[in-house]
Amino acid sequence: MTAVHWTTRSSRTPHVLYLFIALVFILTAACSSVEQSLEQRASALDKKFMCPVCPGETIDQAQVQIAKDMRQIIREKLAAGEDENDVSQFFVDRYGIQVLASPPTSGFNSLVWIVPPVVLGISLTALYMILRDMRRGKLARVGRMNDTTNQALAPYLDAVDEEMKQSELKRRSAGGRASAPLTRSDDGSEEVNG
Amino acid sequence: MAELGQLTLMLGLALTVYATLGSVLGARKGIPELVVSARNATYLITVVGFATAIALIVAFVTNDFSIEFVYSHSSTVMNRAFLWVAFFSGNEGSLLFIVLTLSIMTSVALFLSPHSFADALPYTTAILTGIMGFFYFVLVFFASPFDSLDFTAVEGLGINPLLTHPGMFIHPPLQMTGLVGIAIPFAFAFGSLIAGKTRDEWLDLARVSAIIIWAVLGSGILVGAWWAYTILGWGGYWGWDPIENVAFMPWLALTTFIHSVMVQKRRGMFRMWNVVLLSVAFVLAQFGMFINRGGPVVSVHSFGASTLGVIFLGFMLFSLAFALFVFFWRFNDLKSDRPLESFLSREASFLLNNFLLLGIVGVTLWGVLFPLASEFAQAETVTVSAPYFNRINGPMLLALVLLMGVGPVLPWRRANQASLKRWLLLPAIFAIGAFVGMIASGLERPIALFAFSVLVFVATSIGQEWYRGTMARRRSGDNFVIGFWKLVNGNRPRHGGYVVHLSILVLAFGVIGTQFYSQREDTVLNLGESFEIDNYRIEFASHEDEPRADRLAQWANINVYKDGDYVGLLQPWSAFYPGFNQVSVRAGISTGPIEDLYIIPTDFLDARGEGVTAGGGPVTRAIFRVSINPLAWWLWISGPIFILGTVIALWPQPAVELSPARIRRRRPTGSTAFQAGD
Repeated sequence: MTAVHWTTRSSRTPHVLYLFIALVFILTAACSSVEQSLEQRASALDKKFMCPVCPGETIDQAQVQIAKDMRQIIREKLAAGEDENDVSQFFVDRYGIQVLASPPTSGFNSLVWIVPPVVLGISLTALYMILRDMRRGKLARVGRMNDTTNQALAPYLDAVDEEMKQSELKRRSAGGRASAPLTRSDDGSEEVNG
Repeated sequence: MAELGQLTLMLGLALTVYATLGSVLGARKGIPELVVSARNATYLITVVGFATAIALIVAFVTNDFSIEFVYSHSSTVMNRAFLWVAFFSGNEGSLLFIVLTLSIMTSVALFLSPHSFADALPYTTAILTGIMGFFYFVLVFFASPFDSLDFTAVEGLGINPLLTHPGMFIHPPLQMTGLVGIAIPFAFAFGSLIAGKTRDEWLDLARVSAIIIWAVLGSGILVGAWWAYTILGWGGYWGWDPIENVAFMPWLALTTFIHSVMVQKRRGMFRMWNVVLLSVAFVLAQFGMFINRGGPVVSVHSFGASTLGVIFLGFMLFSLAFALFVFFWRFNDLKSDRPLESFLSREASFLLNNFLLLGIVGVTLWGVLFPLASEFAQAETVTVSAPYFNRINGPMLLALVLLMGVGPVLPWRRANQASLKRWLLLPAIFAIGAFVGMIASGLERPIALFAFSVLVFVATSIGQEWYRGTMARRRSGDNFVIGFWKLVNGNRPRHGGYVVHLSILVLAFGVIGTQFYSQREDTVLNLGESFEIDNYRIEFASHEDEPRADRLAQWANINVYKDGDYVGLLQPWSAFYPGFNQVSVRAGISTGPIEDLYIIPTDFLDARGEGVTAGGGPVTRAIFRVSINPLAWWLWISGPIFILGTVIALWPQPAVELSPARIRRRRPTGSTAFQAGD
């Protein structure tokens, strides 16, 4: 039975992939804060406030007067030595919390930030566990060969096995490609009729 | 014309009801005549839909302002070429367009579906005509484009100035066709399930139609981004606005499906999952319509806004219930043929792809809905906009791109260390080399450099596969070009897929460049003055204006010099539309592969520093916002490549090649397979 192969699978390799992905997350999430000029800080802030009168636009984008004024205020306040939080607080006091382009990270609003990574993490873990159990369960059932379906299938499976053995022999006798076992062809083909 | 139009709408409604009921009854009771008759009725709906559209077009062309829709969306003084845009620039007209495009697609789908699908076809038909029936119902009773105006008008209001842009000729049609068209693959799958054909009968039909719709929707989104880039005036091609998000989510769900369906096609796995994915895409498309037509969300472009939100919400919930019902009804028949064998296999990489794509969908949906949740839970209005989406979706999108370099080279079933090394070593070396090289050459923003390296990784992975395949062909006597041609031709779905992946890389290249390296300055220039930014010098040479009946347009003539050499003339343009009390701005853009110089006029001023509208006095000064957007050119180049890849993937294989044995033998991905196969 081909089932033999399934148990010899290396269980270590997948972690390389997860490590890779984790690395992407960490690197990108860890937004570095390098020394920036006043204008750079100001234009970064422009993108964090909504224009109060134009739906769906930040003051960075909007061309109406109030947006221009707000951009000016940001530059004045930064020049006067206030920091990003002071500017935020100033606008929130005036226009309410919806002036922020994304919710603050406190109270109920922190949910917007917390829920996605938590849910994604849980579902990825769950997916992994479900698939792992599914795989083990199926393998066990296929391996036992005692339920009726598999009994009925047995002659056919035997024939398949025989045929596979034959073509493997043929491959070997063809030479050169003998080193390629059934499960390892680089194009990912499991077929042996190539 | 109005009466005729109204009549055809009612006829359309009647026909959809007949076609839906006829199909279902005919199939259940086994009356072939009824099934055929219902199908013919479906074709007739298309004809009637055309008649309705022509009635509306005639009304527009003849300036029939007794019709409210024509009155409020066109005028005699507007640029008449944009009458076509006016057709779908409002709620009623766009609904008519949607029902027409859906009926055309349905007719084509019915006509082309193979004989082997005949048992399930009536149910597929019924689903599609049922959806059309819903739109006709809304058109007839709530949003007829033929309603008459309460008073007499000699002039219309005109078209929304934001829409008078060449992109608008194709963006809304593509977008609407793409969104409503998701119904086609959905109907193929669910028609098949209802008919009890629960194996893979629907697979190819759903796959091919899904890919077409996916390409249409994707192109529509890209054209929309181009429009936003040139007209909204702030250089923002994508703002994670709710309306953008609700078009993006179904596209992502379709992307998930067309990947996952490959596993079903090759391995007989993920059957249940694929049905779920189609349902998700379909319901998300309904959600998009709900948000678009008077949903409870604030957006920058609510052109189709109406008070029909509740009706569309109802339809979305009904669609959801329908999909769930059929799914659980056939739950036991949707089992996989095989279990997953290894977490390091093509199947598993498809699963990870699915996870990431749906993760992005979920994150985006959460962002769209959170303001409502906040309103409900704490009675406080909050905004969830770009910073949230960039922070959370950005890394996931990058991981997805990375997976494009890994997944396709993993073998089905399971991989081993040797094949991993064989296929991933070179890309990894190239990527690390590129990263080190970019750091060494002094480029800033390490995150962007990391992202660029990921692109290098994937590009190398694809290039390596093509190179090895072509070299293998060369060994059998073909030259490089013919070898490559034969390679691609031998497995078009796969290599078309690679071309699409390349287009995504190109797109990502542009996104990273513009997101991380854009610079911008505001400047006040007197006539004749110059301003320098980076290695550009721009000179405000002259000012022109053109007051017209519907708009007061003015623009600056700006000479652009780069490194001292004259590059060209840019004309950043702005116009005031009195009828809409609205200013529309067009950027002056000098584009190229390296960077765009992007200028928008913020204000035109007279000698006293007062703002001037066109014709309102001599302009001596102007305020410009000057940006340099690196790599923006690549965003738009990705479009043609994307289309090319889709066409390659969908190009029909000659029938002889469809026998499984030949496909297997010809599957030309690794060099060993080549030698063996040829």
